[in-house]
This record gives sequence, structure tokens and C-alpha cells, in this order.
Amino acid sequence: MSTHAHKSMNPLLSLPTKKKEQIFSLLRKCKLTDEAVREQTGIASLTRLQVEQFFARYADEYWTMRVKRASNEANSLIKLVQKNPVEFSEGVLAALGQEVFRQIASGKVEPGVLVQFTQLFARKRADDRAERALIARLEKQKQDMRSKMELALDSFIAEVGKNPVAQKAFGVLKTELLGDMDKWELA
Amino acid sequence: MKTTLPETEAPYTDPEALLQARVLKILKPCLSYWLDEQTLYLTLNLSRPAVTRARLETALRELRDKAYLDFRVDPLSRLTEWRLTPSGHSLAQPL
Repeated sequence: MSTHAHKSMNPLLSLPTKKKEQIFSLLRKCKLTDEAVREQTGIASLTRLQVEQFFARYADEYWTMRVKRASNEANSLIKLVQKNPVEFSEGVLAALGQEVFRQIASGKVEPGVLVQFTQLFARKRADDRAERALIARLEKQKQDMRSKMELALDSFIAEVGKNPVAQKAFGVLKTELLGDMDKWELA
Repeated sequence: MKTTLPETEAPYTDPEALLQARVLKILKPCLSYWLDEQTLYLTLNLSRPAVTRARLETALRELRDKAYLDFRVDPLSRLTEWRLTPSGHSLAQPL
């Protein structure tokens, strides 16, 4: 049986998409009687069988549309994220796509909300990367300072051995420091 | 009263084969994404509430054994999720 023949037999299937969605949604929530469907559509000759056929048929269409939209939207968002200057691993992209698909397929969120969610996700990720880069830079600076200090101390030690005045001053300093340490122990 | 089945269901005389075809048809638009078993179950029963959980599980197991379906358990939700394998996609093409 062709789709055209099927639609000509059931006038509900020839209604505009928006109207079909509205009637399907109300039937799904059991908020519409056959009589109410006749009133809403203005088709007085509708039979119960036609209403049941419409529901069964449109449920299939509705599901296919929703899931197609979910998978298309998930693919589009992955492409959008891939264009972001921050690089994401394949694992992160797959997880993001799966979550987008799950949310839209289950009807929990609308696609527009997910675009915002993805942009926020990308921004947060960029911030995290910037923060990690800053920490790494500070750590490098600390390492550089430590290296320079070690170098200066090594030079100082070498110099002390050569210079009798510095050696004497270093001896005084050593005595003072050790003396202080004795006090700390007593304290 | 004589009723006519939708065209996609006409070739299936065996009810279990028909159920397997309906599962393939539902999973087809999911492409490479995973669909959880609960949503699959609800969708199957949306228009014709006649599929029991046990029948669905048998159908899924058979399709998996024939390598038409992949499955995994989502680590967060602990739900079993399904998707078509490449051969499953080929089989579901005309549906």
C-alpha cells in the first residue's frame, strides 16, 4: 500500500504537521476522546479505527523524526566543537555527542538549549586549559629561580674557599647561626 | 473488521521476526549513538502496547547473537544501551 493511498484513507494523516503533532501529543496523554478529535479537526466522519491508525502510524513517524533530529543535532554540535580553537580528544567528543543525543532523543531538552550548553562547555574547557597553562608557567618560573639560586650558592661556596676575608666572615656567620640554633633548642 | 498493516510490516508473518524488524527500525535513525533499553521498550509500546520486557530481551539477544546489534552498559546510569552494527545498518536499510 502506498503512502498516498494510506493518507487518502485516513484524513488525519494529511493534516499539517503542527496539527498532527498537537493531536498526537494529546492522544498520547489520553487527553482527547474520538469526539474531541472530530471537533478539533472539523472532520465529522472520523471513525475510531482511523484515530487509532493515525496514532499508531504517527507514533512511528514521530519517533523517527525525533531520533533523526537528535543524531543530526549531536553530529552538528560535534562539528561545532571541532571548530573551536581548543582541541578535544575523540573520547570527549564521543561522550559529548552521546549526551546530546540522549537528551534530545528522550525529549528532555530542546536543541537550542544544547547549543548554549556546548558553547558554555567549550568556554569552560578553554578556561581550564588557560588555568592549567598558567600553573605550568608558574611552576617553570619557580624551577628557573631555584636553578639560578643553586648556581649562585655554588659560586658563593667556591668563592669562600678562595677568599680568606669571606672565609672569616662565613666562619662568624656559621658560629652565629649555630649559636642561634642552640638557643632555639633551649627555647 | 478487516485491517491493513503498514507497508513495512507486510513481509513478516512471524511475530518475533516482526518484533526484531521493529527494533531495527527504531535503532536505525540513532546512527552510531547508543539508545538505552528503557527508551527502546517505551518506544516499542508507544503505539501498540503488546511487547513484554521478556520478548524484547529475547529479540535483542537474538539480534546481538547474529551480530546486528552492539550493546554496552552505561557506567553512570547502569542502563544497557544498544546500537546497530554496520551489518545491522545494512539489514535495516529497506525498513
